[in-house]
Amino acid sequence: MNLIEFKDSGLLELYALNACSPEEKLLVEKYLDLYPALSVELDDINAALENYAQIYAETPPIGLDQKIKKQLVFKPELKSFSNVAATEVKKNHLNFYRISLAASLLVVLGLSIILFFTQSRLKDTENQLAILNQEKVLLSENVNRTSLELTNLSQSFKKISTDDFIQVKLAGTEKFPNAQMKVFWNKASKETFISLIQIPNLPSGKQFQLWALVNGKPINAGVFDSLQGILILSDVSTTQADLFAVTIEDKGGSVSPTLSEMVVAGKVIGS
Amino acid sequence: MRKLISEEDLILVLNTGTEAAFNLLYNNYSASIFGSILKIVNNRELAEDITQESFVKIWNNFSSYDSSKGKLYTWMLNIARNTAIDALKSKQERNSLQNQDIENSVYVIDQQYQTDFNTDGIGLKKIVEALPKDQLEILQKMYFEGYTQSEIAKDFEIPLGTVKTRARQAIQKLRGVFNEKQKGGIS
Repeated sequence: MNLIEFKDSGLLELYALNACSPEEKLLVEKYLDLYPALSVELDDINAALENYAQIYAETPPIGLDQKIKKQLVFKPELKSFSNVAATEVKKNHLNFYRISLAASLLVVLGLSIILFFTQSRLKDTENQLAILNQEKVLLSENVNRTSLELTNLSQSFKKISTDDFIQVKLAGTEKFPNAQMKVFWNKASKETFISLIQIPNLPSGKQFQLWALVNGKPINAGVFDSLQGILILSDVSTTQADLFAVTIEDKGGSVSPTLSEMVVAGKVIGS
Repeated sequence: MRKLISEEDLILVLNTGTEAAFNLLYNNYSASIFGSILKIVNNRELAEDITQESFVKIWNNFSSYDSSKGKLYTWMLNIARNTAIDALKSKQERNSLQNQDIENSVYVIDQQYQTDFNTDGIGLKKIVEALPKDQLEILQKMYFEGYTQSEIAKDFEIPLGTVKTRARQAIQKLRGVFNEKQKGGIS
């Protein structure tokens, strides 16, 4: 069957509708591999079907999402590191400052009433206010940092999904067969992001380390902890890499990779 | 189609497994999924239950989604469709034929007077439903109800080749309608 006959047969439409037999499915997939133009055609068909479904779209009743979420397990919200030595936003500190802020306010309020009658309390109040102001400044710095990090994070998402970033799938090794990570690497700007899809538990005192293999030599590309999600690593100091791999090393990383502790590895396609 | 986020970005966010990611997924697709399920089962309460079940399945099985095998939405819709069809089958086994007819007719009337939440779709719906009846029927049976081509050939007593041709023609017409809309031909 040539390309025109294939298109006329309606097999591609049937494939999009998920209504063809297993044999026909294989056949379509073979043709899709052979003729890149068919993928474009398939995308167009899928888009039309999506639009078709959208005609019947209807907002579900309010509260349905809450019902669903009750049955699900979620991972904690993301953290990002601009480099290994970046300051961490600690929730504990935030709460501490919030509580001490409230407490300090109450103390100040109480004191100022007594002050009206007792002049000797004035100095205490002034001291409290000074502490309060300091804490307020630290608190707002913390808040600004958090919202900046969130903004950075969503910008990062947008960035790494552009064509400037090569995606490298890192598959598990014999020791860690189920591990899975993905590296997003911008050859031009050298920025590297990594997504932790499935990772083993990190023993205490250890960290993951990313390596880029250049001409057979492994080059350090950054260390990171086992926080789920997408992490932003320091720039990979090379514009050329054939392979990316992750090993488990002592905290702070190592000069050369411990090959027996390799978690995932993947070739850069088209390098 | 109104979208809050592109599929590629959404897939990246979904990898984080956070509640924020779920909210994005739900806000983007719940109306399409719920509407499709409603079209299959024709029963509002059942559609709500199936939508819940589908989203739980989608969330829990997200790691098995392979982007090289097709779009996220198609994958999600398949899950929703299969869940709906299974639910319908077991429901039919439990109900007597009489009860089922009454239930269906009640909800058919209900839907005719239903407010159309999707203002985009009112004009498009009329146009799409003006498609030749035999083509529209095949499209609906395959897309929403998951009928295979041989099942349709058997039920409608038409050759397989005809089924394929009508499916292709239906989709060609759909593409025509939506491409026209993009060019601004249809208000």
